[in-house]
Amino acid sequence: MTVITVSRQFGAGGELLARTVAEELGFLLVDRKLIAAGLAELGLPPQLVRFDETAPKAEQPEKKRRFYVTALHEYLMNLAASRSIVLLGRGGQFLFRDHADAFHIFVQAPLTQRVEWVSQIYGLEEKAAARLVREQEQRKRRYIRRAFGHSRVDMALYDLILNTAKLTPQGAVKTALFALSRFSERARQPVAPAAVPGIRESGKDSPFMHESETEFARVLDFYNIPWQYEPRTFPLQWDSEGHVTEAFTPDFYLPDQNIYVELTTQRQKLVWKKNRKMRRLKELYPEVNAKIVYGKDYSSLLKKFGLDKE
Amino acid sequence: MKHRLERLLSQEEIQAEIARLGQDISRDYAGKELVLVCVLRGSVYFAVDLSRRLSIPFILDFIGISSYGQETDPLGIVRITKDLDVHIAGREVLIVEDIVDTGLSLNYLLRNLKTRHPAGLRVCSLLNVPARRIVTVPVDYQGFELPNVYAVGYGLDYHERYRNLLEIAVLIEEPQ
Repeated sequence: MTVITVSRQFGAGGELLARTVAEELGFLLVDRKLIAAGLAELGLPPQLVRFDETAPKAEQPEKKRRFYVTALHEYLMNLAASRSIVLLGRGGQFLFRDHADAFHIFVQAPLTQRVEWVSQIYGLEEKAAARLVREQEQRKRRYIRRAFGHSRVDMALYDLILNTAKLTPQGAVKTALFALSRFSERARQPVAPAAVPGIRESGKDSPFMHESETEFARVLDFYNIPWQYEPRTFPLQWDSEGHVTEAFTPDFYLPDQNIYVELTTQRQKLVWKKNRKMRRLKELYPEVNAKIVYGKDYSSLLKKFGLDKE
Repeated sequence: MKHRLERLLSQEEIQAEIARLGQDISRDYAGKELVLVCVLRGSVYFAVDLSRRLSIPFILDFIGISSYGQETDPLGIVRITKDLDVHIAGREVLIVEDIVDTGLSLNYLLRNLKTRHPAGLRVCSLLNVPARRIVTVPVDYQGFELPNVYAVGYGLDYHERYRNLLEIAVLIEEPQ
């Protein structure tokens, strides 16, 4: 069945767009209310719904949160198998990335415009509205990163990007419906699905193994550099029966730069193993760009940003 | 962090290199309308000395961008903290950097300035540390290529210290 995902910047009017598109097409709108009811029907304790689109910082009941996210994803996949839906948020662009009949929309508007709208709609002072926008954006980014190991900034994930400041919310709906009608025509043509690199499937709270990786991802997010976490494993050695006996999974892939980055904060003299893997990688996959960011590089990065201990 | 400084480039070496860069830039931009974009704050020292070595007319302007880890950053994303005063559409623009290492901030700056449709957009950096590069960025005019060291002086700081040194030094950590 068709899945339309609507990702949105807070205050850009994504909710209105999702609701109107669902009404126009007769699709089921999947939002917080429906999810809460659907999961309750499946027997999930209602208090777990507090984890909806949230990724709390430390000292939270992570097992429960992970359980919630897994249940949510199963619920959404089952729902999409039985009927056409418009899914608002929840990382739908990642969850249904490989879905054959999915269309991914991103709704955005300049920050000042969103702050103005939020200020009007919520009756907030401009400063408070700006704070709300900031908090919501951070919350969404954290949710996506922790649920999917991905930054949200990779625009290649979306089939349609709408700027509601330019189009008006109504204009955005019309544009989306027009694009969807063209998408439906194309969807009827048999086309081979494009190969897309896999994303990390992790049941873990944070996909990152080390604090340095978390920090590195934050740096990349800050400078708006799209990244993927451990999207590909390169086999390096095989046994006589063809089983992989050694492999290398670089920490990050930067799609815009087409480069894999392996972070190591180990001391220089202890990184020989990674150096050897990198040499082997270059031997076997000469077309792949990869580099190691050594402890010394990382320490320089922290120094530069004033994050080291003075 | 306990540390000491070890001289890397003397005042004379720096100034000689800047004179060479000034000649190259003056030659390449002869007859064109050049805007020198100095990236605040570290590049100020270099931009001033470089501009004195230019024999062609130019406009000097400044741009500031937020840096990761600044507590004043409200959104968690890079942004312009001080924008250019001049319009660069249709003009030749030369970004003046003190150092290009990871390429992260320069990558952002290039993307940002490109949207303003300059006639040309190039980069001049006194120091280049390709060993620390994370994202690919062009450096059209380069003073010195440095190995993977942490340099201070002549605008480059460590926790706001050492910018005012006339020479460039390597900051070396010492055991506690």
